Order: sequence, then C-alpha cells, then structure tokens
Amino acid sequence: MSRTSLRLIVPALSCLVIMTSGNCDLLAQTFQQSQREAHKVVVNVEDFCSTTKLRTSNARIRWSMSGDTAASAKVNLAAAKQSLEATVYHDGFEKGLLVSVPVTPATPDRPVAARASAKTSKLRAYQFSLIQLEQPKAAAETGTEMAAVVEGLEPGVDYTWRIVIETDSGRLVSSPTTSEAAVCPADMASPSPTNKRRKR
Amino acid sequence: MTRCRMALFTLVCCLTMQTAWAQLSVTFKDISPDRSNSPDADAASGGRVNKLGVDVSTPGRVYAASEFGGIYRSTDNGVTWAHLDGHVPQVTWSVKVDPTNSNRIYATSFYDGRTNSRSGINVSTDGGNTWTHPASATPPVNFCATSTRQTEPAAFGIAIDPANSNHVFIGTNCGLAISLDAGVTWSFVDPTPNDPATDVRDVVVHHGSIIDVCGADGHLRSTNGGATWTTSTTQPLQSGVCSIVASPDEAYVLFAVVGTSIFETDDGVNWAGTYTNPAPQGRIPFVATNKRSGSNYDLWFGDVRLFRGSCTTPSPAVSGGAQRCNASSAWAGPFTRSAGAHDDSGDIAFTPGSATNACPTIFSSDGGVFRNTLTASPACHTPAWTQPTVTPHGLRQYAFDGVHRPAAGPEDIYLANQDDGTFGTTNGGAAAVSWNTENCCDGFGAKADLTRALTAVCCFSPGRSTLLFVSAPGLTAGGSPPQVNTYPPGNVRSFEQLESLVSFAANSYAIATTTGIFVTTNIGAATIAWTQLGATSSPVSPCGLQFAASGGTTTFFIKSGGCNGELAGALFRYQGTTSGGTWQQVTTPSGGGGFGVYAVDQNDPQRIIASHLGAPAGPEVVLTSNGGTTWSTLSALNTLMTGSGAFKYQNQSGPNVSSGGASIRFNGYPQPSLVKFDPSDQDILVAGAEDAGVFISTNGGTQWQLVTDPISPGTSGVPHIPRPYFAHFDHDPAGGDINLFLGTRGRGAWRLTFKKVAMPQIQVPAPPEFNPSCLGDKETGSLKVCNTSAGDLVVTSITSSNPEFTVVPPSGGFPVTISHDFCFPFTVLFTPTSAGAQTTTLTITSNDPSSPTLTVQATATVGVGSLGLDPDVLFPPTVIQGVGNCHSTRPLVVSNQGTCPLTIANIALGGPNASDFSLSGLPALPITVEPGHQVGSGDLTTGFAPSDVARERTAQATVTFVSDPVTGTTSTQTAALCGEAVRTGARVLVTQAGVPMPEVHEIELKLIHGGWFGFRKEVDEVKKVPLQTVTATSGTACASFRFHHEYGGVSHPKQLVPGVYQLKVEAIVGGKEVEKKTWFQVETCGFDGTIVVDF
Repeated sequence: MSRTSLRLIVPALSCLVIMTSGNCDLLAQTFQQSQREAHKVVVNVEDFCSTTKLRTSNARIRWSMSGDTAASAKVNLAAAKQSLEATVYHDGFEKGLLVSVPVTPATPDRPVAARASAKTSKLRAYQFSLIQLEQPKAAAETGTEMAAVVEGLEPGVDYTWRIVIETDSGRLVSSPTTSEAAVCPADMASPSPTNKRRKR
Repeated sequence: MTRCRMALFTLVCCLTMQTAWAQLSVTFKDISPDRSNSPDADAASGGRVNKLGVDVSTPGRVYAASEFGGIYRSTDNGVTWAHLDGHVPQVTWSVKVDPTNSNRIYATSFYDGRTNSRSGINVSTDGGNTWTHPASATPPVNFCATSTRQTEPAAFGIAIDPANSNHVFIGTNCGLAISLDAGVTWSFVDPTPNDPATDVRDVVVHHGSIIDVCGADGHLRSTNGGATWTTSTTQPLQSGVCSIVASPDEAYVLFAVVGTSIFETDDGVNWAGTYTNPAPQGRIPFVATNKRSGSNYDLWFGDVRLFRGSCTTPSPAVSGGAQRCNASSAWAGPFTRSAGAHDDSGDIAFTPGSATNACPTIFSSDGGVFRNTLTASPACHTPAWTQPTVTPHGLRQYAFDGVHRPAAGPEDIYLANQDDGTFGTTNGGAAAVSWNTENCCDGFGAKADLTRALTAVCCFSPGRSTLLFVSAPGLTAGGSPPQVNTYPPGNVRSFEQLESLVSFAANSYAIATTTGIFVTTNIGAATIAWTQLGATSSPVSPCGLQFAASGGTTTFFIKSGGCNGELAGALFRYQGTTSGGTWQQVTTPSGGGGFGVYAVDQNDPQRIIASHLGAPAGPEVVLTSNGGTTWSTLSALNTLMTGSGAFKYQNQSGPNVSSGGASIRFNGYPQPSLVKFDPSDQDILVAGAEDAGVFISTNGGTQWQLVTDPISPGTSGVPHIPRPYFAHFDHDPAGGDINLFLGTRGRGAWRLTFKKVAMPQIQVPAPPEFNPSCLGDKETGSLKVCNTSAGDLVVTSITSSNPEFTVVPPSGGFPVTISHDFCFPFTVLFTPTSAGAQTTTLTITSNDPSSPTLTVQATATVGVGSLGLDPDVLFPPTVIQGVGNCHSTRPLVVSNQGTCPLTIANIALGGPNASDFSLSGLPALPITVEPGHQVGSGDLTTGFAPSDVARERTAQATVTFVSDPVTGTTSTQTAALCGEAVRTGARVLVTQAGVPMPEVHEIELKLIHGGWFGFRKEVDEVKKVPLQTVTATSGTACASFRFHHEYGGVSHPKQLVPGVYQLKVEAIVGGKEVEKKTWFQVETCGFDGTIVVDF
C-alpha cells in the first residue's frame, strides 16, 4: 500500500464513494482541505484476540491530533461527527472497496455494525462491529484523542484503516494505517465434561 | 536415546578438541513424546507443523516445516521424523524439494534474531543435512517497505516452475524472490513497483511459467517471469495471509484463501467466485488441487478441518463461466479429528509421481503430521489418518512442571501444550520416558505435588472455556479426570506464556484468574476454599505467578501485564496466604522500565532474577538479593544473551505471539525467555534465550556458560534449543549428576544432565607493556592472567594475531592451570620487523564459561635510526686555484635524529663539478651513529676549491645509510653543494635606506699604495651603474643576489691585486648628487662579496 500515492488519490475517488450529498466541485475543495490536514490526524492500530470470546479477532484503533490542529479546525473529537473506514484491498480506498462505521457510542451488547457498499457487503472481512469507544481522561478535555474497539475482524486479513472527521470547514481524512487482523485459534476440546470419570 | 548418545559422543569429541568450551559437560536428551496415547486426535504430540515438502525422486522422503521448531525430515513416508539440526532458523514456514534433484531443498523461515540473519530463504544441496543462506537472498537496501524487512528477513510460500526446476519463486516480507539457477543466486521483484515491497505470502507457478502471487497487495499475475504484473481493478483479491493454487487444467482458474475466506477466479484476474468456509479459524488455511480423472479434480481445503471439494473443467475449457467446484456444503469431510488427524490444518501432500488420482499421503496440522493409512485410490481420497511412530518434536508448552521423586529415573514431569493438550510422566529421568496424554487441545496450566496434578485445559463450551482438572501424578490414572469441585472467582487465564498456577506446598495451590489471585491450602477438600490475596490491591492483568517459602512464610509474586514475558510489566509481592495483606510493587532497577521474565528463589523471597525491559539502556538481565532494593546487572549473562554480538538483544520484527493470542505476530522480542533458580542449590541458575541458547551458572549468577549450540548445531552435534521457557531441576541422578528439564516454545521438552563444577573467571588486569625497541631487537612483556572466581582456570592457549608478538610457552607447556585468586604471568615476546606502533590481539582460550575466548589488545612502539642531513651547503665566493691555493670549507652535518642506532654505509661526492669539492674528517665507513650523534663528531667538512670563474659550481654529497636493519636495506639522502668561483676582488651593492638603488651615478675604485693613508691609484671608474640580479638555478643550493658592480666576478672578472682600496660612490638622492666613500682590503685569496654602501 502506497501511503503517499494513497493520499493523493483519495480525494477524487472518495468524492464518488464516500460523499452522499453536495456537488463534486465543492467536494473537491473539501478534499483538498482533507489532503492538507491528513497528516495531522494520526491513526494507530492494535490488533488482539478477544479475551471474552474465543476465536474472535479485535482491534483497537486510536486516532489523535495535536491541540493546534484541533483548535485550527475547531474540532473536538469527543463531539465531532466521525466515521471509521477500512478496506482489505490494495488501493481499496481508491477503488471504492471500503467499509465505514460511524463512530458512535457502542457496547459489546449494542454493537454498531460496519456498513459496506453493495459490492462488498457480503465480504466476511467487512462483518465487524464497533463495540466500544474509548477516550483517555487526559484527552477528554481537549478532545484530541479517541479510540474505538472493533470486534469480529477476519483473522489474517490486512485491514487498512482511516478516520474521517466532519468539520465546519470540511472533512479531515487521516493517513491510512495497515495492520493484519489477529489470528485467534483456540482448540475446542469438546462439550464441557461432567465431573464423572470416564473409562479410557 | 540415539540422539542422546550422539550428542554425548560429539561432546566428548569436542571436549578433546576444545576443552575450555566444554568446561561444564552437558549431555542432552530430547524427551518430547514420540506419540500420543490418547484416542483423541486433537491430543497429539507433534506440535504445529506448517508446510510439507515431498521428494518426488526418493520414495518415502518428505520434509515438514514446524512453527517454532525448525525443519523435520522423514525417510519412511512419515512414519518417523527427525529434526534437521543443520537448518538453524527455527521459526519455519515452508519447505519444498526440487522435483529433479532430491538433494536440493528450499526452506523458508522467519527472522532468527541474528545480527547477520540467516533467516528467510535457505537452500540445501545435500538433502537437508546442511543449509546455506545465499548472500543474494537478502533484499537490496531501500527496496523494502521498511529497513527492518531487509535486516530481519522472513519468507513464506515456495514455488518451483514445473517447466524448469531451476526457476524458483519465494514470497518474502519484501516482495518476490526469484532464482533462475536453482537457488544459487536470487533477485527481488516487487509486484507493485509503485510502492515499497511488502509481504508476498504465497506464490504458484503453472501452465507455462505463469506466476500468481497473493499477499499484502492482493493477487497479482505475471506472464513474463515477473517483469510486469496485472491485477483486477474491480474484483481484486483481498490482502492478507493467503494460500493460492491453480486449476490443473485451466491457467486462468485459481483458488485462494485469504484470512478465512475462499475465493475463485475463472479469468485469472477477477475474484468473483467464493466458497463458504465450513469451519473458519484462520491460522494457516490452505487450498490445494489434485487431478483426478478426465476433466475432474479435487479442491482440498483446510482450516480448522480438512475438506475435499469436487471440481470439473468445462468442455471446452474457456475463461469465465461458472465456478468449477461444488458448493462447500457438499464437500466431503471433515477429514481431521474424526478421521484420525488433529484439527487446524497446515498442508497436505500427495503421492508423488501420479499424474492422476494421486493419494493424499501426509497431512500437517497443529498436532504435527499424520499419515494416510489408505494408500490405494479411490479409497485414499477419503483419508484415514494415523499419527507417526515418532512425530516431530515441535510441542510448545504454555505450562510445565516437575515434581521431585527420589532416585534417578522417577521424576514427575508435566507438559501443558498449545493445541496438543496435557502430557505427564512419572519417569522423567529414565532412559526412555513414558508419557501419558490426558486432555487434548490447549493446555494452559500444569502444577503438581506428590499426590496429584492440577491442569488447566482449554477450550470448552458452553460455560467456562478453561477448566481445571485434578489428576493422578504423572496423569497416569487414565480416563477423563475430574474438575476441581470449586473454581475460584473469575476465569482461568489463558493464552499466556507466563504461568498463572503454582503448587506452593502439599495440597496447596495458588492461581491467578481474571479476577485476582487466589489460594487454597487444601485442594483435596470436599469443597475447595479459595482465598483471594489482597483483593483491594490486586494488580491488574496478573500473570506469571511464583512463590518463595522462607521461615514458615510463603511470599507470592505476580507480574502485571506483559504476560508472554517479552514486554515490560510490573512485579508485585504478597506475604502470606491470608486475605488481609497488600500487594507491594517490587522496585525496578534504575532507568525505569519493567520486568519481562523473572524468577524468585523458592527458598529466599529476597532473591529475584529478571529480564529488565523498557529502560533506555536496553534489555538486560538483573539480579537482586534484597528484594529489589538494589539490582546488579549480570554482565556475563548479558554478553551471552547476544552471543557476543551475534544476536540482537531486542529485535523489531521477530516472530512472536501476542498476549491472548496463539498465532505469530511480527512484533519483535528481547532475547531472555527463561530465568530460574535451582531450589536445591542456590549457586545454580539457568537462563535461556529466544535464539541465543541455554545458559547455566554454578556460582550464583556471576559466571555463565552457554551449553547449547545456536550457531552450528548441525556440525557440532550439540543441539540448539531455542525459546526455552520452563525449567525444573532434579539432583537425584547418580554420581552427582543434575538433571535439568526444559520446556520450550515449539522445540519440545529436553533433559540436560551435568555435574556442578566451580566456574572460574578469567581476568587480565592490564595488557602487557613493552619498552620502546628498535628493529632487530627483542622485547618482552608480561601478560598477567588471573582467576578471580572459584574453580581452577585452565588456560589452553594464547595466540597472537600479529606474528611480531609471540607468547612464550610456559615451561610446562599449555594448558596452564591457575587457582582461585592467583595470577600467572605469561611472557609475550616482541620481535619487531617494522617500525612504528605495532598492535596485536592476544586471544586467550580458557575454561572460563562466560568468556571462553578472551581477547587482549597489546601495543609496542618500535623506533628507528633517522638520518639528519642538511639539504643545502652554500659556500662563500671562493677564489679560483689559478690565482692561488685558495679554498673554503663548510661543515657537513650527518646526524642520527632517530631513537635507534643508524648505520652510515657511505658518504660520497658527485655531480657536475664534484672535482671542485672535497670531504675531510670522514671516518672509516660503515659506521654506526647513536641517536643524537653526528658522523665525525662534528669534524666532517666539505671543501670548495674551484678552478674556473663561474657563478655556480655545484655538486652533491650522497649519504647511504641502512634504512631497514632487519633486512639490511639501504637508502640514500643527498645534500646539494654550491659555490661561486671568483678571482680576488669584491662586490658592491648601493642602497638607499636599505633598499637597493636602481642605478648608481658613479662608482670609483682606487688602490691605496703605502698603507691605508698612502697614494691612491685609480683602478676603476664606472658611471650610471644599473642594479644587477643573479638568480640561482632552481634545485641547487646556490643563492640569488643583487649588486651594482663587482671586481673578480663573472660580470667583471678583472681581479684586484691584494691591497687596500678606496671606494667612492656617487648617487642622486633627493635630486641632489651625493657621495660616500668606504675602504676595504683584499687579501691573497680574498673576495669581499658584501660591500654595501648605504645612503
């Protein structure tokens, strides 16, 4: 995945894929803004196996921006409208082969499912959900850092993640970060045994 | 047993050759179970095996690449397997055999921790006995997406072109490696050249050398040997861990699994076809095709379980159309646990040489390898697997324990293995260890006492996934053991390398759960009572539970975070078994950070050894004897942890396992994997490294000895035991032997036997010193070698890298034994053969276990004689012989300005006017001149007696001296001689305020008769006399000068007769004519060249 080329191509193609309203000329300007700001939103991904569900691949996606960036863009991550986007394809954002999850409060019991385009909606890799939003206490006041836990990733698949933040002056799109989803094998012994001894 | 004998034999061989290295004599026995005695195929003994390689030409020969245990080979079609020690990288992925050459094998592996890595691609040309990592198999600098991918290489799938077996293609973490000469040389290709090269996970070459790859960049195809690549823009293959295979009939039909999803392309580009994975998990799913008859072929798919799909090539075969195979809901199978093979597939191999209906013969999975007992088609296509007689010994322990029993043979050993369940034995010290397999699957805990064993096994459903079973010692009772009757709150911790279960006394156990740390002092109670230790201060994410008992008090230790041992976490202690105490954090060493792996002396809670991670200074192993108040760095062990630089102490992308997971991640790791005190002898400790070996100390941690061979185990016969994580000591063997049992991550279980010996410590207080010397001399220096620890230090040799330095063998010869606290002064003889500062590296070979070879730098300064010779000798103007017997002399200074004697062989005159010059005071030559002295002691002079008037008469004095006293080689230096030949006379220069005047109005010379005041006779009068310049010839000793008029010189050779002369000079100064007079006397041989008249 070419990070550099990705940043250059994202605006135009995303215009076709992501935006659902507005005209493209205006959006192009918005995306120029996005391109300019992209490097200021940093995304880190930590892949791990669920500690509560066997064979379940999770990831914690953290994104942050500097206080100056947040101030200049008038963004508070705790309140901003954001979405987490992912693709499992090489240059997938450019090809429109992505999935999007609105960054909204969620719990394991009330997950927020990812939404993919019709072309990729059945893809196993896109059948994941956001199950938790996290914000470090220190960053809560400044609104410069957020984290989301997603559950049900397809193990062994390379996910490329990015964050899209709506601001008054346009959209901020982070640089993409690629990470391999954790593989979480667990050997299923058998149905739980009773405490009776069995003959060998 | 064979291995043990072989190892012992080789070690004895090595003892003979290299006594010092084997100061601590160790024998090795791989005690891993050869097979499982459980009827459950998921309770296997082979450990994880990834890919298989079948030798087409040699019947029965097959290779297996294990996850963490290296390469194995079978020569009997999978019945018995043996580890190939010559393949040093141990984290392997795939292995393939050249179909036209049984001896040529290709293997791929992940980073091996070495500074100069041997991982990635390895090639054998002798059937797997020895391996090379070709230099060109390392990607070029700046080619990979990150520099780490170049310095820490990894490689994945292998493909050999069926059309040309010299053409080999290997997916790597830095693009596709291609060899066109059967693995001798390699080049790297990035299928997506517009961005840096990343992972190519698998490759298939088929149908006229078409190359298809999958990986981080999805699927790409090349039809021109990798020069250019194509991919789909609309329906590409997703990126990730993958397996790819082609239809046997159609070049454009491919099958792939990425992650857990199965895809098919029927046009070679677009991956529109999919199959539902019948049992997804995703460790290393694979696809394989097997040609049947006519237009039919099978699609074999393995993930959790193995299935066979039925596929048909359309007639006529055209690109596109319907998917070629039946829906996965109709696939035959599963063919794993229910068919005699462990679940979690790795690879499948077919009978070589059969164009159609080849039987599946070998299957690999997380339980090792399995053989198909059905060998005839068509029955064999519904395989009935059986485990080998001797499986690969690739078990990985999550937990390990030993319980002491008297006598040598009896010893309870327990293995809680990843994937393959729990094994126990009661005769761990016996020649042949008998293992009992109890439960399948993931064993996370095993701790025992003399009457029972407590094991933690995963994964069950519904309810608790990890259960605690209470079993008979050695797991010998058979049958399904009962669970504990009462569980402590929380869930048993799982998928962590640091244990969370201890047996701290008879019937007494402690366990860390997801809720806290709990103890019971009666595990056999009808209702077990669990007491939580320090609930209010309980550390988060507790793991790595250990204990120490001293003075009737039990102290527990727990690590918080970093539960695989490779990441820093905090360490806490808790005193007692009641609930009211408080967990106290153990202070970290200076520099901050935290602890990785650690051990506490079970007899002394103040004594802790640990890897110290996360500090700015980098990883280290430290030890405290006061509970962490102060820590000391174990320098000798730290040196061994890197193999003195052969291994990185901390790497960036080495294969590791994330906490909570069970598959490889490329996150890097520090070397320390094991530290442990011997509870029966406080002097003995063991430590282990991921890659750098196993180390033993017999003096409390000061000195350590590497006892395994991580460098060349294939030739030394001493095994490489990577990733030891667990240890248990037994002091019962006869003759003072100590058994050290080791549990590993992927290399099975081992028994090391050794005797405790005192460990000497070599010390060289200072390098030998030499007085300044001269070529041809000999100087001696004293190399003092001391022994600062217990045990005799045996120095077997001392060698010098510079032949000018030699170590004089002591009178008794080598070896030299030096007792504790004594020193021995070895004599180093310096015989210089060249001048200047001379340096040597003295290599001392001894039985110091930590520094078996110690190097000392020594320097000596060699002086030489140095000729001092004035380069130019200028004579004053000298009257020619035709006038009289006139001459002038000058000293010729030939000195020794060096620090050693100088031999002057000859001094001779030569040059165009050599006959005008002469030498006097010359001693008999050759002569040796001491430093600071001169030839002739100052009496050596040159004389000048010219015969014809001339401005310049030149010659040179050539001094020949011995420049190399050793060889007698001579060199020469010359001094230039110059003199002006004149008649008797004088030379006049007129100046104004010291500056020569351009012209002088008149110069008049008169001879005075009758003394200074007598009659004057005009001799000469000249007017308007210009300033003249005489320029010396370059390269001579001659000097330039200026004058207005001369008498007896070249411009006016008329000589002045001896007498007194009056010189009057008239000049125009300030527009007025002024005059000055001066007088001079001309002697018989006189010529005054410096008459200056200044206005």
